[in-house]
Amino acid sequence: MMKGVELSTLGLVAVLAVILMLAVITAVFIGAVSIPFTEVIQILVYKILGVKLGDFASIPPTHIVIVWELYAPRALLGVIVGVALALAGVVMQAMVQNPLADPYILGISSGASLGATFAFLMGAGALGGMVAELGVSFWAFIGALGASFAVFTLSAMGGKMTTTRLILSGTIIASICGAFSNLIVYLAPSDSGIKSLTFWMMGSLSTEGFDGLIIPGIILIVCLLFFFTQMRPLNAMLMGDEVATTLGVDLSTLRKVYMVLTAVLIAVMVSNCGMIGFVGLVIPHIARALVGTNHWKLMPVACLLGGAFLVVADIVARSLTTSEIPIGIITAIVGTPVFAYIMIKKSYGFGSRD
Amino acid sequence: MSFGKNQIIAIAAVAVIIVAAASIFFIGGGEEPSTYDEGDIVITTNVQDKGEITQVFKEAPERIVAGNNTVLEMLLYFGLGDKIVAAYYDEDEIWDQEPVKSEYKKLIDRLDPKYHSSGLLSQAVITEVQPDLIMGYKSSFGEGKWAVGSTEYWNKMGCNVWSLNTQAGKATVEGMAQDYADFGLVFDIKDKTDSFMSKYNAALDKASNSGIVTGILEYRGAENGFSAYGDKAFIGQELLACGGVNKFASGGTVGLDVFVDSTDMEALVLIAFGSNGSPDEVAELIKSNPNYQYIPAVKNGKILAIGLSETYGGVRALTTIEGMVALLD
Repeated sequence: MMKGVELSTLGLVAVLAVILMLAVITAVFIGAVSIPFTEVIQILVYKILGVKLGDFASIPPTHIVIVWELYAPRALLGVIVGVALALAGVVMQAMVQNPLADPYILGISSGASLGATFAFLMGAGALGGMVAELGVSFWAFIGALGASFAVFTLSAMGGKMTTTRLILSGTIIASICGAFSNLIVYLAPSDSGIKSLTFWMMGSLSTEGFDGLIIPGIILIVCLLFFFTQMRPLNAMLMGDEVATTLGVDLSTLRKVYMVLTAVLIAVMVSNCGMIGFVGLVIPHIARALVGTNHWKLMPVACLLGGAFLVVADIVARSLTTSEIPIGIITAIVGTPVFAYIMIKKSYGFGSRD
Repeated sequence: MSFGKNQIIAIAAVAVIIVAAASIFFIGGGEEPSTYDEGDIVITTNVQDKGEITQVFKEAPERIVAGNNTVLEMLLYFGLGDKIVAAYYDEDEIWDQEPVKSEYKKLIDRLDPKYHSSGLLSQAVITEVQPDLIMGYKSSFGEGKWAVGSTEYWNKMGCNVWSLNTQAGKATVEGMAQDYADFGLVFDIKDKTDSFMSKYNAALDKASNSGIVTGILEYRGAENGFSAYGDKAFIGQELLACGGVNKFASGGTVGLDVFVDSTDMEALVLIAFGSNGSPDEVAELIKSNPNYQYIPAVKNGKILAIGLSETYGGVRALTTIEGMVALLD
């Protein structure tokens, strides 16, 4: 937030909601294929309300497919993933009281990468049977969750689970998963598989139809509903373990619950979209710079900002060339200077607002 | 709010099971039965998301998307260039033999640059050209996220998908023969594809079956050594068909020390790719290195230097097999 300027949080939320809506609408008609805005409106009205506006018959059928099967679901997926990453980032940073925490510190990213590496290069088909038919998403999900479980278990062994042990355990599991991923790449017979894996590692919101949004959407709604009831404990966590305990917050239990939910949330997102970095790390900081560290304000602002940011980044990613730029590149290129600007222009502490 | 530990474990376990089960349900695989009539051409292919499937051709495709250099060159070689509406992964130098060379020039002059890429084209762009056939790597037909779209999507759009045997797990001479047989049937050019395979088999028949120990190595630069092509690679299968013995039958990385120590390697198929130089340049690099003079293949100049595109089952396989037969003679 700029010096001397107070923003009403409600006003900011309203502005961000409008920006998000505009971003979603824009995402439906901007892409590598140019489709006139009026055609997009006609298609959406027809598909949602069953009403044919104007000269509907003259719309190329491929445009109908592209808008309804590709661009519209993709825009909504961008909202879902952006909100999820930002939400997870806010929760993780409060939980571990570390401004460098992001949704991937629980070993999720490394586990998902290992699962995807296995699926792409060794081939899920190598195992035969029904398992052979399971896609990359399934193996990435299993890898993500498996790594998270390993982190939880490791951090709780030999003592109480603290934030330091959690972060160290995440580092250990990430190293092990990375080593096995590299081993698979080394042994891989398939150069084209390596290419596919590389694109996966850089993230993509590409999707077909609305079916693929159901699971991520449901998981996100469940997590949003839950975490919006946890504002007080999250605020207390930021004040430190001793203060939080004094305020009656059951840190140990709540951390476990938060970690499980966050791990499932991010595992589902990563398995659907690959690795989209930077959003979960930086969006909470940008939101914090706007409204401070009170989670009552921080969480809705961060969620809206995350959704809007990712949708806009995806518009850029698929509009610049006919072969899409991986979205992880765009989020880093766009977000880093913004983050640096905020850090330079506004001084703020992680635990307080000046 | 407070939870007992057992409750937490139960909640987490139920959540995982539900999500995982739902994911399996939605992702799912397995081929749906195809319906076809008498006179239809049915081919079997292997794709990333569905495994082995059949694709039915009621008539020869007229709007083809070529998804790599091998497929592109096949289409151009057999006079199907005018049916190409888009091309992606066109990342290697096009074959400099006719008719491929001149047909490629015609294609480049005709094709809108928006539909031609050395990388991947987006699913939306390919949808726009309304293809009725996409031929690409097995991994091209995945879940739509890091490929050009799922098999289900393209079939729903009235477009068949096809990954050649030699690019989808059946990298054998028999697999290649099946590819050309299918190609001939699908495009109704059986006489041309049969003629091609006759020339290939005639070249193969001239192999002396000498049992010469041969290395098939891709040069990766002075720091990285070589990458060996084993018996599972198509070119490894070609070597076996010629009666050669693959020194590095299981593939993998070959360090410079192992290469220097290959004093039993009497012939070398040297593959050049990327920034390491052309085949001739890489061959010259190897021949001029005094450290490698203990290797009989290098000392006696029994080196076949080829590009990466020559190692696949495309039309370049004809010149590759001729070169290999001569090398092992």
